[in-house]
Amino acid sequence: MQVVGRTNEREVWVASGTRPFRLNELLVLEGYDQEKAIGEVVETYSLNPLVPLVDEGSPYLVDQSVVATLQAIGYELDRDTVYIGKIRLISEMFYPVKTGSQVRVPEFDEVSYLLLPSSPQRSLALGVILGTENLDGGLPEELKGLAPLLHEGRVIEQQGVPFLLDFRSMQDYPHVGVFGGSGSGKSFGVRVLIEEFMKKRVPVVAFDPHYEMSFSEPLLPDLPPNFAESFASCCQTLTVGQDIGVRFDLLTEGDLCNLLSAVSPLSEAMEAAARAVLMKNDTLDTFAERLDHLIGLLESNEHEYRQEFFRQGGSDREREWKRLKVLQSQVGQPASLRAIRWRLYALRREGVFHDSGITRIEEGIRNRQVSVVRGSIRMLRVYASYVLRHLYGKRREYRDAVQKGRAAESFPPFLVITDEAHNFAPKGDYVSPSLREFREIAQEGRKYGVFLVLATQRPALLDDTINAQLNTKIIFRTVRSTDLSVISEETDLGREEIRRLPYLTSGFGFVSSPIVGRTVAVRIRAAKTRSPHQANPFDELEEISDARTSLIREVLKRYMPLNETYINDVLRDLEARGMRLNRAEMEGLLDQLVQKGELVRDDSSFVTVYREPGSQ
Amino acid sequence: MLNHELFAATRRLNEYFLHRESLFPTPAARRRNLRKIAAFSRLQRLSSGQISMISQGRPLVAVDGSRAEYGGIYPYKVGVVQALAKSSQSGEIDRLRESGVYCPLEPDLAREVTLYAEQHRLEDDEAYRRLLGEKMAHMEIRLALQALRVFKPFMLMLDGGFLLFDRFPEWGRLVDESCAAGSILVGVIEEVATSELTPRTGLEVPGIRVYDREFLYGLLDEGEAVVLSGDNAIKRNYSTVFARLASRPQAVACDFLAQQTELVGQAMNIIYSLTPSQGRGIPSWLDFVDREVRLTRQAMETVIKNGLDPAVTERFFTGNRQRRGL
Repeated sequence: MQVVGRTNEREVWVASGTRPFRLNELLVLEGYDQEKAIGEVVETYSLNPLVPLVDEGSPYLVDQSVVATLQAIGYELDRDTVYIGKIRLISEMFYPVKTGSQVRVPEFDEVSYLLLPSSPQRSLALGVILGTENLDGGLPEELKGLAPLLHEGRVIEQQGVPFLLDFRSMQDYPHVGVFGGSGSGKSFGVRVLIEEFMKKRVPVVAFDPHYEMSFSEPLLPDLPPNFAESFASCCQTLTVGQDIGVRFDLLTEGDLCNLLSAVSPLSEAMEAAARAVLMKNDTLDTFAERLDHLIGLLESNEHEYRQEFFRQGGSDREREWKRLKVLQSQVGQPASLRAIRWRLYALRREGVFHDSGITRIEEGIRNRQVSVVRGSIRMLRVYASYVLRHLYGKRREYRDAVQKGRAAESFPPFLVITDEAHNFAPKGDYVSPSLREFREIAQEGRKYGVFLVLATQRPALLDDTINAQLNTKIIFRTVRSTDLSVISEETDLGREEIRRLPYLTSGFGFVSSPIVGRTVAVRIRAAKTRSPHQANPFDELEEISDARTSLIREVLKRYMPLNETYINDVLRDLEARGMRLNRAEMEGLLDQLVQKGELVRDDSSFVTVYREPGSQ
Repeated sequence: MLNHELFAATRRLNEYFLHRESLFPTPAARRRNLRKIAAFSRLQRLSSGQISMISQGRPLVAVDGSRAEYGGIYPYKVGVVQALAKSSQSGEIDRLRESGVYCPLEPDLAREVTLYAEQHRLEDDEAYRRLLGEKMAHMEIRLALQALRVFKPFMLMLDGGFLLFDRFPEWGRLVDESCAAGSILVGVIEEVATSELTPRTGLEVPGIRVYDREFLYGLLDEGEAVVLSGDNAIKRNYSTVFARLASRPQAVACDFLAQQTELVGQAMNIIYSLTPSQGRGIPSWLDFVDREVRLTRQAMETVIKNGLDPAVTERFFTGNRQRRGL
């Protein structure tokens, strides 16, 4: 193996007559009078100068008799195959590498500083570094078995050097982006990230619009015992409106408007009305009551309504009446109030208002747990804004107080993880309720120890400010050209890597991060757990219909051989067991069973008879 | 812009060639007279079995050289010469190489050039050019001898006629050892440059020197060969074969040793079998070696750029002509 052609201080071509180059492998380049350089293979080729392209009309390809003669004298054309690799230098060079420099495979110790900038104790073991398979031999014991891989439905041993991401360096290089199209292994990658954070007991709030972040089921029933791990004590799943929600009495006017607009967008008049009607220390009931009264007042005779209002009684009627009178002049239109009312009721129906508020998330953070927050995307966008403002506020207050030497209730640093991040923090004119909070954390979170992990399949739709703050990017298969161009602008991925992105296998990706120092091709490790609904929905359909037909089979069995005049009896029997079929459906089913060979149809007598095969 | 005067002159040259052809003896006459001094034969494409019978498991080896120059006008030049012997069988060693770099600014080479120029009554730069050629041929013959000993081939193919090589001291040993080892020595000439056939066949055209290339053009059928040996040999006592190995009407020549004249038939059949019929009529093995040894302009530049300091290249070897920008 040696360096060929014209070289520079960044990239060189290497050729070998015997050994094909492997994509992403590291190689050592040694010239006769220059320092050792280390580079990574970014492109590979093989060619045979004696077998030119077909369209060159070479006589050697066409003339089989010559090829046969060559074989007879001991020559195979492929003996002269030349392997070529393009190497991007990792070592910083100030002079070009000399052409003719010898190239060899490194020993593990020579490149360990490039591959392992941190120890496993301080890092997340996300997978293996591609192209390091041949370095397995020199791997120290502590680095083995960290990242087993999933291969054809089985967990296999770690191959190569583990990819360790030093998460503590997020202090200097905050925030992580995980990009990739559907099926690219993005969700899988996020799962592995969360598992690793759980192992390190880093508090996490994860927004889960897909209801897939659950960590209770093992990936496979027979995981190797040293790999399987239970995360039961490290995480809690909280559903908005069920376990957590919004405490109405703590709502600000802005919060309220955000919440209402999540149901359906608010007009300016509606927003002004909502802001006006909300009073300090309102509960959901007092607020709803005031809304009702105001609508009543606006839609009826004031004198009559006043009497009615005071007849109902209650504390402080005079003051409340005065308030209503003020509001009456401010709000004007009952239509706006009605619009607010139905939105409010919709929120109440969804259970957003919950007395526990976000207490359980706060507890989760204090207990260094992962709190998975579930809800529809629409709801989560609003809720995330609410949750983040409060949690981030608490953390900020605490840090600021510490800074100024004041006493304050401590609140730990934490991480915010979300899938479909472009929905929470979209780019462009469309303003998501949670955009402001995400932006603020992206820009300032590092100061307070609050970090983002944002996964999305559309990096091009993610807010630019936030995108620019994602220091570490994990990129899986991406096909769309707009996303590719964003990735190419926002990362240090080279032309070769960008070209590979549309063709990456699921679970393979690139990590671009100043923490690592260079772009690394990785294969994400096998997750220890799996999403509860990884079963194929079409299998589910089959299961349902299997259940139906097995019931039908069971009933039919008792009527065998079945004379068609008795089909109605079968239908009645089935109905008694909770399955309604009409006669045509039943006949169709019987025909299907005949086709499958489970029944035999006999038309030889006056009536059709279905019987089991082999019976008379 | 096209120069019309040049165009007219080229047309006149063309007229001449058409006229020249009409003065030639007909193909039939050429064949008839050639038959008197040479043996015609039909070559065969051999089966793998037949080839194995001949090779006895031994390889075919071809030796070829290449040279290239870099620089401006003499003596601001660097000449690179390399030669390669390649065996058709794979093994721990399947290639032998030799190479050298020659610059007339070096005193030793300068002396050599001056001596050569005096001996051959040449200008220095022409002498240097020829000297490089000789150094390459010498290199090839040394390599051939070494290859004969290392690979023990059934056939050793040289690129070029024997007259190119037999002036070197190693030639005698090469001949002796290849005869002793039963290795057929053949020199393949892709451009026939002799003019022996017209005088020997008595078909001279008054006032015109007819080269063998013209004499043979289109004369032979594909796979046809004529052997001139013994008393009719045209170069010393070597047996020379003219053959058309492919569909192209041009003939190539092969030199064999007088001692190996009885092996010429089977050797030519193997050479024919190695030649693609659509190609340029050169046995593929020689083409492969040529391809591998060839010093392209790009390769030459890479060697110079990496071997010499840019300052040295600029000072000595970048000709002013190369700086032309228009």
